[in-house]
Amino acid sequence: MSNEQHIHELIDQYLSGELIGQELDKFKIRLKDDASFLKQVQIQKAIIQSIEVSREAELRALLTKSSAPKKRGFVIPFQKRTLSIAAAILVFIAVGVLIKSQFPNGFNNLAENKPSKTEKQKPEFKPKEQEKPVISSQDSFTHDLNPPDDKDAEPLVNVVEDNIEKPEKLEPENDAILESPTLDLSELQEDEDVINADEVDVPKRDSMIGQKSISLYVFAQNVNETATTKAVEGPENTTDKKRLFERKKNKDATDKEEADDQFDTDYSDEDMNKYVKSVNGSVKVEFWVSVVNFKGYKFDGQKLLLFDTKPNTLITVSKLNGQSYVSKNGVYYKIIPNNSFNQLSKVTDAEVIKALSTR
Amino acid sequence: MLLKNRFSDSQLVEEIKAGNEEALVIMQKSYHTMVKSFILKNSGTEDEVDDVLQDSLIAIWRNVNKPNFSLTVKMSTYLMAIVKNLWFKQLKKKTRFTVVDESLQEKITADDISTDHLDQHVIHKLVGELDETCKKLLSYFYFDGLENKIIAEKMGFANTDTVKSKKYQCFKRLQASVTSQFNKEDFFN
Repeated sequence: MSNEQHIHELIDQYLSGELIGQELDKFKIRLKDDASFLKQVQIQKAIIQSIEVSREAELRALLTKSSAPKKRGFVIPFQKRTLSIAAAILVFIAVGVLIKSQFPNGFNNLAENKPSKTEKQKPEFKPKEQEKPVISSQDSFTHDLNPPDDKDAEPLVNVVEDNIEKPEKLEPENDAILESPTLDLSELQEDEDVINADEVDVPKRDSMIGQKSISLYVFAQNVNETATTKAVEGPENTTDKKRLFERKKNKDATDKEEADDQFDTDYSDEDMNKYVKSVNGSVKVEFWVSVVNFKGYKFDGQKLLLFDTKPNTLITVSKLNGQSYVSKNGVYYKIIPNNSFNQLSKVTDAEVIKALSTR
Repeated sequence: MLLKNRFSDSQLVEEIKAGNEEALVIMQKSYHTMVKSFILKNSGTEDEVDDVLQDSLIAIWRNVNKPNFSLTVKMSTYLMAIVKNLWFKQLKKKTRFTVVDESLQEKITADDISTDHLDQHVIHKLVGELDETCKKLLSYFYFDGLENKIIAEKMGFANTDTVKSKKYQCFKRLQASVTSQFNKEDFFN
């Protein structure tokens, strides 16, 4: 080790406080007497300080980098957790209030209770000439722009009515059922009250778009005296039955396929004559639309709520051996009295379909 | 999973002694909540939490590498003792409305040797211009206080003599640069 290196290490020891005893005394004397030595010690000290600062900055940068994501707000301070929980509760309550406003009568009591007061359903007050099924002539756009309680009021947005195309949904030009000259819904739905066509619209909340009362007919087996009942709407005769099949043919593709599936079996007149019909009261049918596009039904024995079914759909309600059935445009579904909404279950039993198809 | 769970206190000490900087990061993540709780309850802010924690971890980093260091309490207790000490000092300064920049505060003894007349920024610049090996070697020796044996292992030197020799060469090179600046007028404040 050279003398210079020895002095360098001696200075290191002094600056770090490791120099003790006589060596320290000698060192201090030299500091006083030798100005160049003092300068050397000063420079060495300044360099070491600078090295320390540099290294500390390096370590701080490492720690800052590793803690950076936390600083960006992913960690909620302990003291603020209470506020966060309170905010979450408020949001929960707000959502609850919103749902309550959407379903003022609750989900389970929807059938038993009347719809919300914002909904229109006063068919009794409609004049007789309006009983014919109505398809809204007012499209959804103009309906929204002109509040029903003030039709003369200026729309919120200037709309040239002539330029507004009527939505196909409300004016179904391609719907063969509506165009068919053989289909007279007013005849088929004599007991129907009124379809509130103004409410056939894009639903902003679950709402009833129509209702009707249909007669209940009771059927019984001719031979074995086994009681069967069937409820159908309107007068039931061979002409009506043919009309049913005619309507089935003109219905949209899906329904047609489903109906065809069920009617694939050819029933002989002998089969049909095994049952006889009779009227036994009536069933109230309500047609609802859901904001969530719910498809299904609710049934309490006297009232049937149908979601996603148009009011002009041909509906029959049947009861066979204690089991209730509903048919939509000739397609039979099993319905079970329930307190909550169920999906419609298509009838596949050929014997049941045969019995329900009795003329 | 807390990273701390991977290391016991003694393992953390060993890692620091070995110059493993990851130990500091692990401790930072492990003790951040604890330190934050203390600082926020004692008139501190979120930003001050990180600063105090960094100061404390760096103090531990340096203390652990001092000769005869022995951890006689849990690492969390040791850290919190440093945190409290630093924080109450800081609060005291706050109440006196004094601002002290500790960045250039002397970390070494020999207070009778004044360096105030030397322009530290010039020296910082020269330190920054050092090659990576010299910079690491001098940092390990002067700041981290690592033993020469550890430095030799970390830097792939043959033995401690090589460390001493290399360290001297690096320092001399830096000193020569500084001295040349020292002789210029602008070196002095």
